[in-house]
Amino acid sequence: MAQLNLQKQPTINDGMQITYIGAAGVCTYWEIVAGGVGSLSDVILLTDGDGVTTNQYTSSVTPGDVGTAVTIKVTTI
Amino acid sequence: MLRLVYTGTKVTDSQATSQLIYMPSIDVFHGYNLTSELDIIRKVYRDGTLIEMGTNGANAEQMHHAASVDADTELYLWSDTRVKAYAIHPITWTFDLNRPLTTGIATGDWSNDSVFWREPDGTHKYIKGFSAKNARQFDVITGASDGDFAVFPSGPDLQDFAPMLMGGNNIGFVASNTGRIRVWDWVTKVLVLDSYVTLFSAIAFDFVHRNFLTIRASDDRLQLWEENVEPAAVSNPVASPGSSLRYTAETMSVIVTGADGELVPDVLVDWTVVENPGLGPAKGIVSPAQSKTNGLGVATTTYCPPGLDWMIGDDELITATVLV
Repeated sequence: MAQLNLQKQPTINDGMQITYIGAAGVCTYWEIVAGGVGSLSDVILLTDGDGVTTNQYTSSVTPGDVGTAVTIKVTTI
Repeated sequence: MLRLVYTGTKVTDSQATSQLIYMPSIDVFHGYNLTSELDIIRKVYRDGTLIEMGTNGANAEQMHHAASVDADTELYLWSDTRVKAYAIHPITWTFDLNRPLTTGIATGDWSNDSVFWREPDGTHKYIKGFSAKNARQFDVITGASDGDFAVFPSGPDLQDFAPMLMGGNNIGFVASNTGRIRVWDWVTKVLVLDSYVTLFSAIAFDFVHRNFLTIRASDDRLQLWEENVEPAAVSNPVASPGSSLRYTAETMSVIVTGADGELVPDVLVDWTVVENPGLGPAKGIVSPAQSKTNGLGVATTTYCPPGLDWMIGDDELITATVLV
């Protein structure tokens, strides 16, 4: 399991690429476990031959969510 | 079965066109009758038109073996009665009896199941199939054998197959009674194609556009075929390791085959995880969503099961479809 803390949501409705590096050819499962704002473009991704996969996080569209810390967890077995 | 491009018009005089050879210099096919007393040489166009060009001159030759040599300049026809080959003039299309090509190859080795051509260095080569399922190359002039270049491990004797030149290092063996086509690379000695076309009375390979042209046996219509096998079936996907665990990647594979069971390489397979009735939308993914078959007709992808979303009773369906 890997975890990434986004301390502050930079702005509303903003995109951000998040790269995970691990073993090659494994399934990675993505979820937002804290903060609960914004969204991920994929919840399941397969790592490539170099063990790399990249997801897209899009922050909340709600102005009131600005400044909310978000934690994204990536689970593999 | 190879991929059919089109079925054209009926050849207007198929009885006089039992043999075809592609002439790259003029992008047209040369046709003649193997045993007819006419022995007329014709241009055969892809639309079925025949244009009479010349004859063997004496109306006494039984022409058997033909090949375009030097790729685009000369055509030779073999005369069984004279045991010699003669050049066909590319403009007048007449049989040049003043330029015989004599051979040291034993008469018994000249048959319908053979082909000859001229190498860039000027030497004439000849290939014949034998009942022992081997094809042997000879030097036409000296008759010396260059040895076997292909051996079929099983199947019909090569005597049942007529060879044809296919450009590069490839030579095809075709059987009109079954429609079977087998192509060998004579350098690597690898069988590169083993498939079928509809039964034909004549066949030629256009090695510029990489098409087979046949005259269909049942109705004398021209048919143009691709060099590639038409995909006809996709096996059910097989999962490996097949553990069905919620987080474990599974390698999924299928085999794509033609109508005659041939393995089909280089075709694109589209993978999808589909919703099972009553279970809601698909949760797992496949990556990549499309993959090509390898030389053994096998395409693979990786399936990631639903992971956290996996619920008892979930049963996902993975499908593979060939994209044509």
